[in-house]
Amino acid sequence: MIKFMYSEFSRNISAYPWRSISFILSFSCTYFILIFSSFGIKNLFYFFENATSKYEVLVILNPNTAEIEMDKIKSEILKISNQKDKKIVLENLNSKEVYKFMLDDDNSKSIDLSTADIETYVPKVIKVNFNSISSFKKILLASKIKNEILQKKNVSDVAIPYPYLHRVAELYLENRFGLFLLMSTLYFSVFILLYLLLTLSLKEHKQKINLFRILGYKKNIIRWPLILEGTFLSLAGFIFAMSAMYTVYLQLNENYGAQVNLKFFSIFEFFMHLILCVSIVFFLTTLLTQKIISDDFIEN
Amino acid sequence: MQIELKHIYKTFAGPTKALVDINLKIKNKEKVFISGQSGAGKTTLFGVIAGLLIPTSGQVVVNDNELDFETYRSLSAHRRKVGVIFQDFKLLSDRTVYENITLPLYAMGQPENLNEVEYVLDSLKINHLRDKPIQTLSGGQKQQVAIARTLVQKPDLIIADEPTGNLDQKTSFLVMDIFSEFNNTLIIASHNEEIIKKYSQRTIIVQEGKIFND
Repeated sequence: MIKFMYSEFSRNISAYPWRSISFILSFSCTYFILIFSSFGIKNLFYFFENATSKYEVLVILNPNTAEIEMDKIKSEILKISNQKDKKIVLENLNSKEVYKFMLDDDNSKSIDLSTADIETYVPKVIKVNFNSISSFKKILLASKIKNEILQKKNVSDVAIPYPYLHRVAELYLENRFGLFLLMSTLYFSVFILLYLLLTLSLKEHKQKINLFRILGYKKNIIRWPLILEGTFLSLAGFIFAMSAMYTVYLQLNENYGAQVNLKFFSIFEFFMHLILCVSIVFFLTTLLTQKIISDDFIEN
Repeated sequence: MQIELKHIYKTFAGPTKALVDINLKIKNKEKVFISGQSGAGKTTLFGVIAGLLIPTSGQVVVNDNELDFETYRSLSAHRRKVGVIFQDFKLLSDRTVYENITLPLYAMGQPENLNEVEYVLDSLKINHLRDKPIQTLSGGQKQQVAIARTLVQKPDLIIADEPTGNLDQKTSFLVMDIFSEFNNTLIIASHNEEIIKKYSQRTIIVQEGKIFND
């Protein structure tokens, strides 16, 4: 019986090569929507994670009142951040580290690094390190600390690295519902497209399925060649879509690699997508063949 | 195979009642002809007997056991014992004659039983067609292939819907001779008076979904 099921499956694939190719291309286009969406989301999160992995805030105090204000400012930072002491580390910094840090902050207002006498200008600095806080929280917290602490009269400057990230993070937070809606719509569209594709594919076999039912074939003998066919076509479509995505990735990297460090899928992510795509097809084909097998097949 | 229909009704979508209170008993090895105009309900009646159509109400009793229309397993077991020859042949057009004829063997789990295929091809004198694709055959040849496929199945019951409709007189009688040698229950729909006269043991006339005369 396995031999028969295999021969039916290979006949389905090879008897009409153009039909198989057009289904592979249709699966490929459908999967490309899913893969491209995942690629976008992955790189958005990678972008935040990469940019914020060493995230920290530097509070530069007015040299005249630094000693007096130090503890007050520290407790103020903890209050603003609403974090436990363990998650935010406050430490003093030497001038060299301050100088290095300031170079990273495009928006640092008070020091002209080319001429500033760092030793005298920065007598007391509080460095806020974030531990075990998610990327978004780090970015938003840094922004909040900067905005609120900068208002204090004895604070000379607050420096943060990659300030443009704040705007991106805020944009993400403002639009995350929309983004979620867009992703859901895309994934749902993929599901519907796969459903339609498989319905179309199975309709082409309806005459054969009905004959097998008339002859009294067991359910599994009817169903398995069709499931195998759907899985095979979708697998081939997936590989095409992934190859197309890789080409797009190389192209994007070539053009925008200097500004944005894009990441392709890891082996694990590749297989997760593969399993997801093939499982959807497996599930839908099983469901649809079950429906066809249960239908009344002589229509009035 | 003995078949008994008890108060069978079958309604399709819309107001049409295809079968109305059909009560019928066909004994084991009985040869029955069913006659009636187009649209009288013959095909629907065959569908219900073969387990291809679920009746709206009523019972189908096969060898004193009620046929369970709810489970696929029970229906497919019944279908394996019933050979149906359709008016439109229901052959797979992308395959050869030989491939079509061997299809029932896989349903029965006996793909190696090819001697039976050779015997049937010889009996119907269609051995020369064995490697021809179905789409190259004439209507009469397709009819013969459909008959051959049913005979390979060695069913307990053959239901044939106008099996000689597309055949010339000589081939019609050849087919009917093969059917008359068939040592099991046979239900045939036919309009051919000559064939009915020669081969019929019992004739049932169906009209507007009811049994008009038995």
